[in-house]
Amino acid sequence: MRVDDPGLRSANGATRKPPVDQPPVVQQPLAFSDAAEAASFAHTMGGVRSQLEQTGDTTVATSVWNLDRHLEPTSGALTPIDLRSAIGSLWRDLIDASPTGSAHVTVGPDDGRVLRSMLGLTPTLAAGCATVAMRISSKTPNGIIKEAVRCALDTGQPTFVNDEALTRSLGNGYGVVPGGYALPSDCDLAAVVRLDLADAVRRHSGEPADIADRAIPAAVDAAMESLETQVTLASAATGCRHTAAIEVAGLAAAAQQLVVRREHREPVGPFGYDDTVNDAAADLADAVMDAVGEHALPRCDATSGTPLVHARISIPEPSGGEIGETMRLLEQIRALAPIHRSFYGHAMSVVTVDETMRSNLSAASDFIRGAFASGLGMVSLAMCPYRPSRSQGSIQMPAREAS
Amino acid sequence: MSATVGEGPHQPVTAPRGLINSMVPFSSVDGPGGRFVIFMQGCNFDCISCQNPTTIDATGLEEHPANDALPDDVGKKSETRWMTVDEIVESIRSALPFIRGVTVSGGEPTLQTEFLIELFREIRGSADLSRLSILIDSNGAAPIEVWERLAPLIDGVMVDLKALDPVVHETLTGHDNAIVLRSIRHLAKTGKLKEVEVLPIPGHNADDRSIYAASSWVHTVARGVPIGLLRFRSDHVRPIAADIVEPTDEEMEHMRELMMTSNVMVTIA
Repeated sequence: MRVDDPGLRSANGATRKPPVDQPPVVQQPLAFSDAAEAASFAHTMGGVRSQLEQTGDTTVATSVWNLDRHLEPTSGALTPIDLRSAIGSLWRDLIDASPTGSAHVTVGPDDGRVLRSMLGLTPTLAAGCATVAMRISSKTPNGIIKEAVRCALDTGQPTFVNDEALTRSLGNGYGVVPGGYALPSDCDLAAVVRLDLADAVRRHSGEPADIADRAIPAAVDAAMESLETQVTLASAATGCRHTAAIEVAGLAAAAQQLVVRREHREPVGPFGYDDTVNDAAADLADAVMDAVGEHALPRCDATSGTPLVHARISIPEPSGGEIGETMRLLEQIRALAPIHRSFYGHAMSVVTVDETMRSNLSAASDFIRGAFASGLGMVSLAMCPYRPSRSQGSIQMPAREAS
Repeated sequence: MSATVGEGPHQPVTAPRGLINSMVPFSSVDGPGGRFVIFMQGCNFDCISCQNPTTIDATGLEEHPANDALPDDVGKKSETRWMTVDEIVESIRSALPFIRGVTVSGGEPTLQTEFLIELFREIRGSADLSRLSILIDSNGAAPIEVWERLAPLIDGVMVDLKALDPVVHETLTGHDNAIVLRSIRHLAKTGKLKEVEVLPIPGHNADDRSIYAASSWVHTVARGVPIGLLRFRSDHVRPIAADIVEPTDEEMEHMRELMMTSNVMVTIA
């Protein structure tokens, strides 16, 4: 079901068939409760669907896409208290209906009462019950980004999604499912395979120079073969549209191994702390995308016949930074950006910020915009505890005596 | 008797290069939004609570008034170096997607006014940088002429008010506060005062009477200007201040509430 077509349901929830030879009549929900019911129904159906389609050990989370946008037009008649109450009920419905006990919603990029109310309620939900992805575009007002950052610093939610980067690689009307997989929500079926790069590098016994040219393409070939099989079988059974995704794992570990094998030395540090490891990770990401580009998945029209390639890569908690200087924040972004650019925005990173962001939410807003301008696709914020201090202490200053 | 400040190295003839202690490409504690921060070397105060003590030494400035022919290792600290306007602007550009402004701190930045003027002119005149706001974080110990020269190029100044009582001020900084109070009045009158920063240090200026006096004075001379209530941290300070107990969250909140009774907006930084 396309959840971004709420007009296909009438006010009482019945499905209306358009008269033959006439265009379908798009009817907006009459009341907030109708819109919320439609959203809940869509989420329920999505949950059932994901249960039926688990492949291997992968559970594809389904999402109510653009939830706030669907609810916003009917929210005007509600008082703030009633709106908060209604959205609280909706959250509970979504969570209860989910087979995994966790509801995923995507919101933004525009400001609105529903979005603000949802962000206000997110900290009250039990941890792990709700994940929120918030699309951020260049037109998203700073005010709502600051509200979302405030929520994210308390709860880890929402994840921020670079709207322009993601929509660039998705077909019209397709969206991103939060919760880690970044799949379009509008396809009827989804298939996911895992590509373990660390394993591919570890198994390669030849020259290190061949890893990008042979080991990675071979691993991608195997993943694509598995995807093609899944899609073909499912298509034959259902005739549905598909999308497919490759979940890349072990990229940072693979990059570290690659440096060890290339240079016969241990890197100075892990990914994010050693430029050679950072460069190796970028090389591996490029190699993956080159190999994926050699394949086509004709039944996956949602993504123009190519699988979405998704990776999670973050930098271990930075150390040695200064309070207020956000723990090497720009260095984190510069290491991550090439990976995100290779994966067309379907990469997800947790970025560590320090507690001063709480009292300067505008700085967090600036940072998120800067990260997206640098090519990051999805970002979550994690808090780093306070550490003193700015002083470098390399000059021994004389002790002053009391006057 | 307190030393005289506001003179000395404030007025070098030319300053093609500035003595820079360090730069931070993205800061969330030096003004609104994400900011590029330049820590200038050299200060005319000697505060017992200074969190950036490596920036105090102004020897390089005093012994070598800004001069293009100076060697690059004048600074006393390995990162401290003479930098050109172009070098700094290039660094600012590398952080441009992440920032909404530049803050010049220190040290006391107004000791290098000529260099600041050159730097700010370059920022204001560059198409890609002109959107950036420019703030100065100052101890306020600069003559009015300095503020008048800087005013057309800057968005505002954040000034420290170490203590309203001149005797306490001298204890904390080594100088009395006449020039600081004069600067705050002038900047408020010209609309360039963005914030008054107050650092309560237990045993010196953190008692209720001092706190209320400071906020009342700010309300009187700079109505509408917010106060940034800074938290004293005992790390890196002078030995004389190292044993001072840091205020608790509750004590900071109490001071904030007390200040707000003067009808001043107060934030705990």
